Amino acid sequence: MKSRYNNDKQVINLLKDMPKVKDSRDKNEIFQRISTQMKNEKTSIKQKKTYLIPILSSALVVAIMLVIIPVVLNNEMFQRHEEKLSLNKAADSSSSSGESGIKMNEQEDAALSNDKSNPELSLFSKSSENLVLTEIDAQSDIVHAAVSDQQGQYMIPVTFVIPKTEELESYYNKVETYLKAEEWGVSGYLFKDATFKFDYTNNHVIMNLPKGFSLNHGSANATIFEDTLSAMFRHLGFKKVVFETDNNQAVDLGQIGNISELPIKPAQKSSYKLYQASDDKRKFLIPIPLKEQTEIEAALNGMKQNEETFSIFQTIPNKIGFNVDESSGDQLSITFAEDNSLKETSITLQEKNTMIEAILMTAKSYGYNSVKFNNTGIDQIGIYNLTEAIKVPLAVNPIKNEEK
Amino acid sequence: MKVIFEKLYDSYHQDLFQFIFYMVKNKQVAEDLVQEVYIKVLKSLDTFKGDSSEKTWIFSIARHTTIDYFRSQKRKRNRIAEFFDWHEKGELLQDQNHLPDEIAIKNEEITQIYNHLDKCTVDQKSVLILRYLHSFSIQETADILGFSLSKVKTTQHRALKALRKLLTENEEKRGDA
Repeated sequence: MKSRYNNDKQVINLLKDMPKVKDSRDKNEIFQRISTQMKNEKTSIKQKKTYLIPILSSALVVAIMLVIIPVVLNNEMFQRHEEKLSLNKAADSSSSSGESGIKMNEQEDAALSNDKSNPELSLFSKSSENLVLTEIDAQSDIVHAAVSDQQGQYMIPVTFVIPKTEELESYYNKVETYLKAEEWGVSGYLFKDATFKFDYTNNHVIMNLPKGFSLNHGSANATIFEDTLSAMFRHLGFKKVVFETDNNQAVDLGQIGNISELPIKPAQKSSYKLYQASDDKRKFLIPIPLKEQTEIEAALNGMKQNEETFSIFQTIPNKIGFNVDESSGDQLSITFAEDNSLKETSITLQEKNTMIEAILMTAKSYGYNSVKFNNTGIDQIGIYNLTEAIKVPLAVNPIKNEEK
Repeated sequence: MKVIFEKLYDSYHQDLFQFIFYMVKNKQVAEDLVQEVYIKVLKSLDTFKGDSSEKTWIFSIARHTTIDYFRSQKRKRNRIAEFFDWHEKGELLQDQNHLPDEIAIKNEEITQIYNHLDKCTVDQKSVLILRYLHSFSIQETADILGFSLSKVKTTQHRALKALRKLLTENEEKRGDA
């Protein structure tokens, strides 16, 4: 029998006759299914990703540790090495100055042993508290503000270091929020609710005082008002402060009178002393203004005077004797009377550190750029290398970020 | 997204469904797979280069989707086959049992062709369905399958020959009987 399927045509025709098969579902129904399916896929992808997070973060931590640990170990070794070197150096210098044995005071001993047990403590810091700002990096700016002592006698300048990215003007306008009067044991900020505008073209600051602002009558308040404004804006190069009130009236500044503007005063010669309202409050270096004709030697000697009623204390201990040499231009030379003055064991390391800083600030108010200390007997106090002339600080009473 | 879907649906849906159905021979599976094809198309519309026509592009996605399905089925069957050696029989049973209404009402020859399609290779089956059920040209079929023109022709020739042989064998069996 001959097959019906002896050529392809027959089969092709059969294939072409195959019935049409249709999807009986509704278009919308299919669309619904597709969109839910797509959503589910997305969430399952998300779930997968969140599931990965702990794994990835653990991997990252391991990677970071691998990078950090060798660096930290190296640093620590470097630090220990430096420590050893400086100890050797200290020993060398004291034996070369003719002393038999090394006489270090208790505090220094304690500080050094502290350093040994805490290698992460900086070599130099020896836990001394610094009341001045010696340097800032290129990415930072300084903002000056001021408070006053509790009795309203003296202005106390304070300093904030802010990143350059932050606008100076706006920081000055909110500086009030960073001044912790009660916590620090000082009188509050004088310019509550006042606003400042910087007018660089006319070189002045426009100060808007709140309605009804007036100073209590009394010379001290007016002086502090003036000193505070000068302390805040002097370093920015402004020449005066112009007051702006709601109805353009002059401001009643008590002793100073009714004025509409106030020139910014140049820095005044001052003795820097220590202000501390009580033992649990913050310490500040406080400039005690001096008459223009006061000699620097007198200014420095004045720093031995306590004014306990105002919570103001000496920054130079009575035992310290010194000679002042003003002959080297903008460098002040201070020679301690006896070789062992700074090795005096009854004076704490912190007191010595504060003395150096107060002298530097006082010298700065007299226009000196640096101070060379001679006959110190020791090479280093805190961060200060006494073998070289020390530059005067940038500012006083820096408020650390954590204090804000 | 709905606008694009509707355009795709209106232009290609029943053709796509039929192609997938004849490939997998199961309406439910075809329904699922055609949805998958839409999702793939919607997700990769921006990668469509326009080298081929939209229709051949979508059909090539449908073909890949069915091949993926076959692979997953094969893996499943292999797992089961480790315990039971019945997978070939199982396939046959499924085919017989799921004869769709559209086929069942047709004459015996059509039913035979429908059954014999599974005895061809996947490539042969694809060529036969695309060429004769969907009337794609040899060039279009080559585009969809990613074959050269001559490979389409050879595959088509071998597929028809195989079907002819199977139909003749059946004829002879019946004649003997």
